[in-house]
Amino acid sequence: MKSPMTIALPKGRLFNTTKELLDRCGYELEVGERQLVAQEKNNSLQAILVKNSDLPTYIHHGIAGLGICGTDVIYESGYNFFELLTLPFGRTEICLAGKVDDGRNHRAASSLTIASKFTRFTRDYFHSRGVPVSVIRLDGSVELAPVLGLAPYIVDLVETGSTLKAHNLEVKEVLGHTEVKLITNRAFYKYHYRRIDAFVDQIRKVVY
Amino acid sequence: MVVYNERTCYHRPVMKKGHMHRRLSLPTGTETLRLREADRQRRITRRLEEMFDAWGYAPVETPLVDFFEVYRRLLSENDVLQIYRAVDRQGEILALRSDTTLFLAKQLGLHLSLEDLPVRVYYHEQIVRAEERHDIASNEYQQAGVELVGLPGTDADAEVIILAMEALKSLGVDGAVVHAGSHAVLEEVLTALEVDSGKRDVLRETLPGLVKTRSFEHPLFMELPETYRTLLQFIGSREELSELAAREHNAWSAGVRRTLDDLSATISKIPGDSQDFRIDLSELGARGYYTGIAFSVYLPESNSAVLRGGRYDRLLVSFGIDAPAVGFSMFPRKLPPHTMATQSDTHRNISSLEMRIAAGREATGSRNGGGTKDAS
Repeated sequence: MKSPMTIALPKGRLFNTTKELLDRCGYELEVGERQLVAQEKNNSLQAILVKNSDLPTYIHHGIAGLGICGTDVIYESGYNFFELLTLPFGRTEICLAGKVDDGRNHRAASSLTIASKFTRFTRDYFHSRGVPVSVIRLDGSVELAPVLGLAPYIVDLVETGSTLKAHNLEVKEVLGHTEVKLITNRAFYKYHYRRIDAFVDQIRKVVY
Repeated sequence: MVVYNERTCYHRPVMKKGHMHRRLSLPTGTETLRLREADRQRRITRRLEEMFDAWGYAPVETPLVDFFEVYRRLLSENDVLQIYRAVDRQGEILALRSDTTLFLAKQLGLHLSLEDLPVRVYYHEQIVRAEERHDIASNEYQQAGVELVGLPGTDADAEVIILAMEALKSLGVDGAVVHAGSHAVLEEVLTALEVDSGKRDVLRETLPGLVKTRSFEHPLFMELPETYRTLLQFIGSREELSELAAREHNAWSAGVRRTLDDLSATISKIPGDSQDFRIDLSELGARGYYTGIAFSVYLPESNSAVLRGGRYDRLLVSFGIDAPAVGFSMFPRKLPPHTMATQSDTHRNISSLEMRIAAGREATGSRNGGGTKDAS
């Protein structure tokens, strides 16, 4: 009997959507309260529930062969994976935001100071445009940075914009978007490509 | 909570924080091996050297440091980032060895002439690569491998793959699978595409990366004709490739068919279970100098390839000798921890000098007589 494939799933808001998708594909995960490892009843899949930002690390080191993760998190990790499938949920814009009517024009600035948890993306994006950027790393409540004067701009994911609005901030520019991907450790895929391709086909049939 | 007492923080008054940090760590991209692990790695090396010797390969060593400019034009931006550089007293930029094949190519180019060919060499060396500080998983600091210089063709390709698999077998490594692709196939696909020269240049620049990373949802890849998309995504046995070729025969160019036949011919020459040899056109090697077959070996428990290799027919001409070559590098630190792990501790705990001399002499005598007694 083949051992189950291990998939890393993000705790938090993406988990329920992901679990529902796997349920629809016939992989019903039994997750107990406070449990971080879940078995699928046919023993063909085992899920580990990890913090979103840690997920790439588990896959890179081969602890999990597969994972479901946002492209923003993958990019920030600096690791390389095979991206097997784009999932039809979790697409979000990544934006530069600042105070409403602050009188600044970021496009004309010779350099920018930006607070963000997406430090790698922010640096690479503005450097690719030839703009020197000073990035201040924050891990949460990034909207506070312009309000309290830490930095005039932030780079963050924006879904509805209501959090920005609540802090008298606005989107200055949409820099890109993030998507949720099914990813795999490259060596794991190469070894188990038949099983993984079959798994991907099952998901593709359900979502597309 | 950390409780400091006199014992745990005795160094604090005399060592500044920065010094402590440097004392406890190493620069990224290098490592130190200790005791049992060093012993295990040494035994792996010895076994590999015996194997390479038995196949008629001769040992070579490459310089630890060389002039950076010699290699610059052969390096991608990412390669350059991985190289530790220093400046010598005359102001020349030096590169620390980060890829044995590259450093070896220069030595072979300098010291070989066409009359010397073919030449078979092997090496076991340390390399140093700058890496992300958090990434401790690459484990490519030790490279053991072979290069077969001066022979083109599928026989030479098959020889190094067979040797690679035999070497792994001699180490007791089970479950290895070979994935083999070919730059020549991709090159022929690019030639066969009916696109203008500007588009072809974009594809030539971008497509290898997309295929290697299996980025098959990328718009540029999606623009390719379906028959070539199917081909470039292919992984499977030689028989499965034959089935695909039979279906798509008329859609593929003569060049694509010929290069696939070459790849298939190489795999057909390798004895063993055909399920262990997969044709995988996304295998294009980790370096830009590969021109023909490129292959990697994977194990069920490894998180990256334990061995990589391929044909590089245009590398040596950069160093003065126009000769084809094919080879591989194995990364012994990536092998499973149980590989060559057995050892005898019989003599390690001997405390008296007299007993150690006697035990050493006994073991040496046994070995000279053909025995294998552990004298460590």
